[in-house]
Amino acid sequence: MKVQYGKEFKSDEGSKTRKVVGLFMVAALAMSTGYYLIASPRQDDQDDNKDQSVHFGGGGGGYYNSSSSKTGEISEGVAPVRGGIGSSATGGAE
Amino acid sequence: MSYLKRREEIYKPLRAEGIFTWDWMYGEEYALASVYSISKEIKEELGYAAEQLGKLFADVVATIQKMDSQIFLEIGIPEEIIAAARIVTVPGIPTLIGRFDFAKTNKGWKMLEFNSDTPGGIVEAYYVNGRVCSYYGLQDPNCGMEAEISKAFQQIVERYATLGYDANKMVFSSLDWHSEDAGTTRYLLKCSQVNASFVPLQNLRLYKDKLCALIENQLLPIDILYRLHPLGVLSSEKDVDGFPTGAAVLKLVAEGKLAFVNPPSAIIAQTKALQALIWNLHELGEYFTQEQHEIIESYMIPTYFENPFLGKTPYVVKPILGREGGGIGLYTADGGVLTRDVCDDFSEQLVIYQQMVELENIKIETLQGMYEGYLLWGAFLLNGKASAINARVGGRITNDKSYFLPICIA
Repeated sequence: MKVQYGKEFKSDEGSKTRKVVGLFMVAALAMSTGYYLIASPRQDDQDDNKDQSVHFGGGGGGYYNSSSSKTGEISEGVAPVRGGIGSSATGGAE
Repeated sequence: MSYLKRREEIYKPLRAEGIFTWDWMYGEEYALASVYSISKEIKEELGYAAEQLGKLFADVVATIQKMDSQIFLEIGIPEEIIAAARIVTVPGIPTLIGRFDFAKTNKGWKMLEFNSDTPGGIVEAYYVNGRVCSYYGLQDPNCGMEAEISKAFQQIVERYATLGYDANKMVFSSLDWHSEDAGTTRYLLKCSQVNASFVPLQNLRLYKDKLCALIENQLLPIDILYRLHPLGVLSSEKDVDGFPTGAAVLKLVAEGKLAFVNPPSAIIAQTKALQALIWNLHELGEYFTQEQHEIIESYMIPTYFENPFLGKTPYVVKPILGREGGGIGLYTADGGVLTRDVCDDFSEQLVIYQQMVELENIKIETLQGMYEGYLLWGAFLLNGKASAINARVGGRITNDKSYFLPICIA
């Protein structure tokens, strides 16, 4: 990795280019000199206040009998089974 | 023998096998019975370019993975994916199976984009091409490459196990009603030779902290998921009551409770914003080694977040996470529209501006007679190595209606 941030942009790039390249270079420079604290993904990316296991009411894939920790039949029970994957897709291969 | 007769002799048995069933798509011919001849050198050049670009992308992806969330957001990675995208699966490779698209220009091979998340054209390149060559008694440039798929999948399963993941139950998943997606997924499952099964996307369920396959009213926990399902799509999918199932699944991945193939870091290589970042770093003479700068200069196209081409040279506008040519526009130097794909799916996305390069123009026999179109080359990168190549011919914007054109070694 060769990092020597500080050169001027050659052309008249606007703020988006400056922002992205600047962010990358500052972080890359800091990493190369060992003065970069990598943010913990858990703390940085997951908002602790967002409880994604919150059970919304209504539809869903059904309810799962939690008597078994691995498999079991879907029936009335305590833990919701969530679906919806693939519901918005029109094809994935490109 | 007529083209129609030859075509039936080639594709009817393939359809009957059930492996390649989409030689017709949207009511039109997709797979051609014509064959385009290339030299060994072309195959080698494409392989070299793909492998070098693969290393370059892996380098930049690895650096971004260590950075804070702001850079992810700036290059268009949805917030729900960021934590998962940080997972380092196999150092030195940007994805397990991806495909670089190239144009052959008068300045050499130029890479247009990297389909690193959910590449298609796999069955066509690794299987159908060989069958077409065999029919004509020609040499298949991709001969023997199916075996590489098996090695690659087995290695990534072993890798996940080494990293401490449960790696006992693997599932391959895609939309089951989509012939191309389902066919590609089932083909990879067969080639992978891993102990796994196909489960349609709509039969995946989230239960507590496991992704499960719903099979005969049973929930079977999944350890590793091969998904032909874009992360950008998954991230926004919800249950009928609005529960963010896709985001919750990605959270499992971020927490190491579920493994993905392609690995989630593929989304970083997939965003076309990465091309703009790489090109700007190159122009500034920053970050890269001399050798990397030469690779960028040779194979990449000037790409920016703003439009520096207006009034100077023709250019292309691309949504950063667009697929199948969706939302792409080609413009003249003065901003006039040459052609544009109108697709609302990607209209909200950040775009990049790329200098337009001319694709080769060829004439080829089709069911409709001689067809004149633009040739786009694909070079697969499998487990970091150059692999099969393919060709498509279509309009100025290559999309899912472009023809699959079998190729042979002259």
